[in-house]
Amino acid sequence: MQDDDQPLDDVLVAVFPAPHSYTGENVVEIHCHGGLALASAVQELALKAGARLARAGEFTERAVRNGKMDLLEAEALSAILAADGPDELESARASRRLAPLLRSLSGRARDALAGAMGALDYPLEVGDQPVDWRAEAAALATELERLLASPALEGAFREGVVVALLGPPNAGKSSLFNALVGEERALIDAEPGTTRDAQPCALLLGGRRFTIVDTAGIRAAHGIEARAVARSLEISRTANLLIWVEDISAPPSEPPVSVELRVLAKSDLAPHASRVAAGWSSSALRVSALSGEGISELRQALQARAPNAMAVLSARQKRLLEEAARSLSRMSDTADDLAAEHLARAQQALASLAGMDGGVIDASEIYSRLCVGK
Amino acid sequence: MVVGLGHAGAEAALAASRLGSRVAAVTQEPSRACLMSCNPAIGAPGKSQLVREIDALGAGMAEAADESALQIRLLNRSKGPAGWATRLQVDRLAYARAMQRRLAAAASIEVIRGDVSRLRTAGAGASSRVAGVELEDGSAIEAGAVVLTTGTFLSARMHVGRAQSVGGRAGDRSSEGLSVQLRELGVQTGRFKTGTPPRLDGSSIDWSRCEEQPSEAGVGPLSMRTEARAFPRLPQRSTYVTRTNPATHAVVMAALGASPLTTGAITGRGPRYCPSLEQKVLSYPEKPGHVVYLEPDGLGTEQVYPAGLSTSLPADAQLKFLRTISGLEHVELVQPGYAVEYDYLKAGQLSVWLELKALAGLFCAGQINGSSGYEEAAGQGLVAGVNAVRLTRGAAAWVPAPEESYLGVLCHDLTRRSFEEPYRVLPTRAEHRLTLREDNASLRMVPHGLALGLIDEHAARPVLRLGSQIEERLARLSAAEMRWLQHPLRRVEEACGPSAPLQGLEAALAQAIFVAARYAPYEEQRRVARERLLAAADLEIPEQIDPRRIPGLSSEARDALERARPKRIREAAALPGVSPEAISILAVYLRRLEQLRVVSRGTTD
Repeated sequence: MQDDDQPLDDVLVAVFPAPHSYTGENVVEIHCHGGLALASAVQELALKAGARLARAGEFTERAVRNGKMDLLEAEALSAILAADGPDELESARASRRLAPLLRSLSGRARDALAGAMGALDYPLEVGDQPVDWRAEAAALATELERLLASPALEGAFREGVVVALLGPPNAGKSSLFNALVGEERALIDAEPGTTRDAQPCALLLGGRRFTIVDTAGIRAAHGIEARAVARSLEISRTANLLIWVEDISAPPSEPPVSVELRVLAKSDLAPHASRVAAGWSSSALRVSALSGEGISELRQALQARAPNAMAVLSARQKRLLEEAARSLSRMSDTADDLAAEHLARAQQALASLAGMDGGVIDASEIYSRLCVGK
Repeated sequence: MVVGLGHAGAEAALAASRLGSRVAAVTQEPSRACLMSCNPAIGAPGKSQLVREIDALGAGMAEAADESALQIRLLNRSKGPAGWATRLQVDRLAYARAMQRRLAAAASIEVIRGDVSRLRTAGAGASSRVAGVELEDGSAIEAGAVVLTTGTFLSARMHVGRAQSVGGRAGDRSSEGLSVQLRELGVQTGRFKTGTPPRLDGSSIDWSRCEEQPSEAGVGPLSMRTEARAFPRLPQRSTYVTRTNPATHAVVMAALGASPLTTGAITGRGPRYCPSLEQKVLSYPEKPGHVVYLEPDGLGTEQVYPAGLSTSLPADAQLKFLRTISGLEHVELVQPGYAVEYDYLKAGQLSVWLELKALAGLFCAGQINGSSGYEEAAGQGLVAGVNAVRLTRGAAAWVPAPEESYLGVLCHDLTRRSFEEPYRVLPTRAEHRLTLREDNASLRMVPHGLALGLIDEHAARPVLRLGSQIEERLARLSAAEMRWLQHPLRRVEEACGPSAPLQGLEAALAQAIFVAARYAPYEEQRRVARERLLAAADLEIPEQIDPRRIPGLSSEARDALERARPKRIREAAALPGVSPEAISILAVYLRRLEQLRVVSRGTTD
């Protein structure tokens, strides 16, 4: 390559003629030598010749437009490309493997809908060959519920494993939070009830992404604090791992929800095990933000107890799944005309989940399943 | 000028005459006007709603069916009011006479016996328009507009076994010249096929071996002009149900070699929802039997119509398979079943108000447009008749909206999409099927009928009054009362009970409000969805997008988008062949692409 008369670099050029490229368009790759300066110079040269920089994701977008991959695949792929750790990469790959399942769910909804509409369209003809589309829809609903409830799908992908620190006020949650994430993130104060807003912070442990969430202390509270407490409990419902944090020098407390891990904070205040009151959980981990006792053990415990994050749905995918499940649940007790309407909505949501257009069932599809007519 | 007096032609002539135009209606045989060539019944899901809609626009079909009803059923009774469909089996001759009486009573309609050989045109090229017709006897009739309703008679071929004959219905001739002339005009035609079962002699049937299905009581008439007290007018007849069996299917299989379907003599596509017995046996070999409804053809005849046994096998094979069926062991044929092939106009050549784009002033309605069914024909006839008159008066064309009626769905589907088989209206095809019900058909259409001049104030007044009563009452219901009424298991009787929301209301009004309340939330959702789609109208369609790669688009929509390459959703929506569904698919696709870009921002690929 040369800039005007000045030689720049000896490069390797690979030509991918359409449609045999990633994007499906004609693609030329320039492989140049060595350092950043040379690469930048080559790029500058290309820009000068009329090229422009790609927008983020533009190559994948073009691949979708040109039918090289469907949207579902692209979505999963963009997660793979964005993966920060090996586990995250693995779950992104699993999401990609989820695509056929989502497609089959969509197909089943379509079949059930064809049965429902066939029965409404052709009462005389279908009379002696009823398709039990309500049973098909019910089976589908069960499957969706199961999928939505499975821990493998919990937690939004980009947040990794969500860990919530719960406990009574002033138990030392915020100090522990800071010790865990290794920087002064949460506002710390000796006055109980300082933390009113949950502060998530990302943490990479053993190649896996964790999101640690500090919460307001749980106790009977009023006003703005009462709302913060309610939010703490709300967070506890969406987190993957709950840690109950209590003050080793305070009277024992019981978590209002079941937790995966219990820790006794401020262990520096009770250096001898004998001073721990009888009845306190022996499995509880002693930690101290001040002395650093137990922090690395806690990190290991988090890694050990994190669920094996498998296929994880994006927020959009989860919303559509929930929408489909909700529509299906509304079918019971309704007459066929409205039940078919709910089924159509579920089908629409699932189809759009599977990256296909939704909702509209061609009348001719009904015939492929039924012998109708006189 | 109306060519043909079947169900389309008759409604075209009646509508034009109600609007005050002079109408000449040419038919081969006036005494056979409005004969039902196939099943003597009016109504089915979609069709019943359509018939009530055109009734509110002054059409004759619903009244004629009420007058000649022999058996009444409410289909889908258990499936909720949006699924309900009134079906009337009628006395075939009484129905035709009822329609013929209406044609005769309209002073401005002149029925002319004859065969149309050519259309007369004036002007040339883009400004050419229709000027009248020429008859085979050499005479000519001048007309400002012509409605062509050739049914199955355009280049018609009938098939019974290997025997072929030229004709559009048993006993009637084919029209050849018009087909040729249309092709000269550059009109593209396709071939469709339809069929009809044999007719049986009822006195040779053992009814005791069949299951009786009596007429249902308490079902109201189809027409808003028929007095409920005077319905039904004729004594009622039962239908009988029997089934084919493996022995029947064996006879059919053995005779298949002589079927025009397998010999290749028939090239046209038939309606899938109306398959011949041959097709059913071939397509569903695992089914041990198919249901057969034995329906009376009329009061003064023993002739029976066996619904479910459409066939074009040789007559001797027909008799042989019939006699394997329970109840038909000694049956005699009155007339064998046959298949008819005919020309239809391929989609995209008509405007949505049913005028041919290639020749101004020429309107087409019924099977020539690729539809099937009496109700579909009648609906198009009415639209064509109205617009033919409006054209001669310089008024803008009237187009029924698909959100508002099955009539609108019918006209839009037939002119903007192409179908590989004859088209039938079905709830599946109506996006707003929960709104397009029988119970509100007159409420939906009477205002149009009044505005167009198809019905007078006297006829409209009670319907308009009912409509405002319903609206008033609905508006007065509290949110809690609405929710109570909308409970899935609520019955109208409860809603009228002591201290219930509809207490003390007259039964018909209470029922109407009850049903309207039930569907109100769905109508609201549909409205919102529609607005969202309208909001997408300005979405840009990037040039690089290849429509053939967009998943889920019909191949027809893909072709249309590929050819026209619209820049915005709005332009795409105006293309023929691009349905509202295709538009929503496209909008979703574009938005998803946008989302994807956002999702993968910060990523290098």
